[in-house]
Amino acid sequence: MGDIAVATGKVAKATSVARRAEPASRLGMATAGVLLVYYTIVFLIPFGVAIWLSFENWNFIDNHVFVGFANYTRALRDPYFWKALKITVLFSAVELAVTVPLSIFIAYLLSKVKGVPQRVLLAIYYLPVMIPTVVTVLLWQLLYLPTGGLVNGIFSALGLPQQLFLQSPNQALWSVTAMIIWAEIGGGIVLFLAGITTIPASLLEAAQLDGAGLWRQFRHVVLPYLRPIIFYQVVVSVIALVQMFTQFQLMNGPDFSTRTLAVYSYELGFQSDDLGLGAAVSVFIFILLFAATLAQLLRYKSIWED
Amino acid sequence: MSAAIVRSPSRERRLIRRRQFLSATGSACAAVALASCAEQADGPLASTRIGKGPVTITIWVQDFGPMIAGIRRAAQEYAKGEPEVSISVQVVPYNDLRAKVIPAVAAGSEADIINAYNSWFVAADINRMFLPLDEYVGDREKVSRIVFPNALEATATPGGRIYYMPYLSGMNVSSTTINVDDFKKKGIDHRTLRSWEDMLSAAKELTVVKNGHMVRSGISPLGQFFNLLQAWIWQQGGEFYDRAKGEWNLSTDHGRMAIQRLSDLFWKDRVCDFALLDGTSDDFLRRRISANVAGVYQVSNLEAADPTLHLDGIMTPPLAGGHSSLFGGEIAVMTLSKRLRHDARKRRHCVALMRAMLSADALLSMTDVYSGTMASKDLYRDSRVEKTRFGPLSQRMASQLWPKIRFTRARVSDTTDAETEIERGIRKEISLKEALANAEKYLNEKEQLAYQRQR
Repeated sequence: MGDIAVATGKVAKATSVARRAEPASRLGMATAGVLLVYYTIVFLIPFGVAIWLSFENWNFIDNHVFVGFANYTRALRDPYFWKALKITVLFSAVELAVTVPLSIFIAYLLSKVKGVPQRVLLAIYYLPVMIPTVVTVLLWQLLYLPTGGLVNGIFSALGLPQQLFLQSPNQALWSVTAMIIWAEIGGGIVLFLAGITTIPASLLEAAQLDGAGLWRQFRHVVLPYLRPIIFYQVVVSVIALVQMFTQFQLMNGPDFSTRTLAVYSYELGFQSDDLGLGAAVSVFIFILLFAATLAQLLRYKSIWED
Repeated sequence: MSAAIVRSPSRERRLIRRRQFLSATGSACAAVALASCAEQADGPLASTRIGKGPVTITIWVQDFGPMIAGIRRAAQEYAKGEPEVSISVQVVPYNDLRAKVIPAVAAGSEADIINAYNSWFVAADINRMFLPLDEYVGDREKVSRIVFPNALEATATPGGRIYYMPYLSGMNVSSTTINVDDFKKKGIDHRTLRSWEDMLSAAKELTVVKNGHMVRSGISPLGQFFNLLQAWIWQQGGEFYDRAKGEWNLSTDHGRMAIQRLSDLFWKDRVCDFALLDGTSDDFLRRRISANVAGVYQVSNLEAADPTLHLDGIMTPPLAGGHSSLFGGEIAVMTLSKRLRHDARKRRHCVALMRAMLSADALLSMTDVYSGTMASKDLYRDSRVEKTRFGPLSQRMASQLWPKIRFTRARVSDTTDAETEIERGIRKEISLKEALANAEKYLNEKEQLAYQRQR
């Protein structure tokens, strides 16, 4: 027994030494090197600069002054920071809560439609994803016009009261959210439809034979199968939603009602010339995203282990 | 025959379709690429390139029609006489220009001539930003002979050097836009209003309420609360900023009285209503206001948008029995890149072009489409100004307003937070006392940051 253990240990050690000694492919090293340089330039250096800036008082022009954690304490004491955080979290939660279930549901329905109709419907749902964001924003701004806008036109035809949409501090955030859901849902549908089509037909047939209707098939076969895709979609969406900028920058509602952390960080840095506070806010965004992703990973791990 | 050669008809059809698809996609991409390389449309807000000479001068200008027209016309005239010059007039929206200028200056990638606003640079050390203009346009005394001295006051810098030339001002808050027809219907001559109290009485008569809802506001201060607050503190003989100490103090008796007056407009005098107005030009276009204090520059914009509107401008009447000081908001300026220090040939052209853009001739053409005021005294000395569409109004406003304008010369380049706090107070989201204290806190924080950097 002891000999076997010693022998196994020797083999493992030999394999490890052989692996270490194995010469790396030059092409592989070159490719990895290029990527490393690129990654350093576009991510590591800016990230490091942002952290450095968050400890400084600087405006691009004057001398920069080290202020320690002052920018962080200023951010935490700033009611506008908390308002932007609330808007970011609220928007992300609602967007996610609507988009993920809705795209799974539509993907499931689409999986029941085969051939050309499926492809046509899929193209229709995916079309908004391909429209440039600025075009989408301009289009929806026209739809939301309080006077002469299409949405209020429809409301008027239905006898419903006219709304202010983007000009109302209470409606602006949800008006932008509706537009984002419309623009983003197609991506989720494609992803979930791809996942559904990989489910073995025999599983669904077996469930059918056992008397499961569409809803029970969906709940007990489709959803468990889609779990890794749902997890991926949620993680990626949270990161994208918290960092979303263009839509909120272009469709800003009154009373900072659509000012997310990303927009606030930009405004502090480039419109108030308060780079330190802007950088501190962006570090908070990173911490928020890191914590959210970590929480999801841990939750997924525990579900997976169950 | 191998399978590679013989294809089924359906496969053949699919291949042809794919090729067609690829060629169509390729053509579309090429068309888009070509279209993006093409000259931009020569619309009123489009960027343009003038002349084909080897010395290229780049100008950044805000996307404001009259300014673009004036600058473009001056550039065209200049390029005619200077074949070695080509001029690229690049139009940038206000907020983008605001966000772009300082980082670009820091990176050395700014335009040669920049049309900006003085307020953007008050929190930075101007000595490090632009080319000193003294040796090209003369010292302060010489410049004050060609522009209104108070306009020059807005550009005062440490050491008395000149880094930007005052260009124009919409005279926000210190001038009021009037719907002449509304006033006429009530038999009120807007030119006879001497004090704010007179204006308030007129506003009360002009305000229309139907079924308990305001449908027309007599006068709107929306978007100008903070500026009006500062003006009223001065007019009561108070002060809210100490430049030597770099301190703001709004929570004074004068400050409290000023914010109370603002609040009363909504809740006691009831001449305006947050539910009715959105603070944009839409308020005038939809006939929801008879007057607003957002500046006389609006007259030309609004009449262009709706030719049936009949508007006029007056000096915003000061508080009765008080000082007649008017609050000077931001003014548009022209400045030159510090990179020109190393390029004498280009610098010569840029200085000459900037002079041309600020000349009476160039400004005169603008008074056909712009009702705000210019900083140039030369323009208003020219009798031709009386014959342009907005020339007489611009002249009247400039002569009345420039001598009374005061500037804070504070080190806060972005007062948005303070403005918001004041508005929250007026909206009754917080108390007026709290609003003043919060605004003061934000202003002092920013002031101290600038002070700390420049110490």
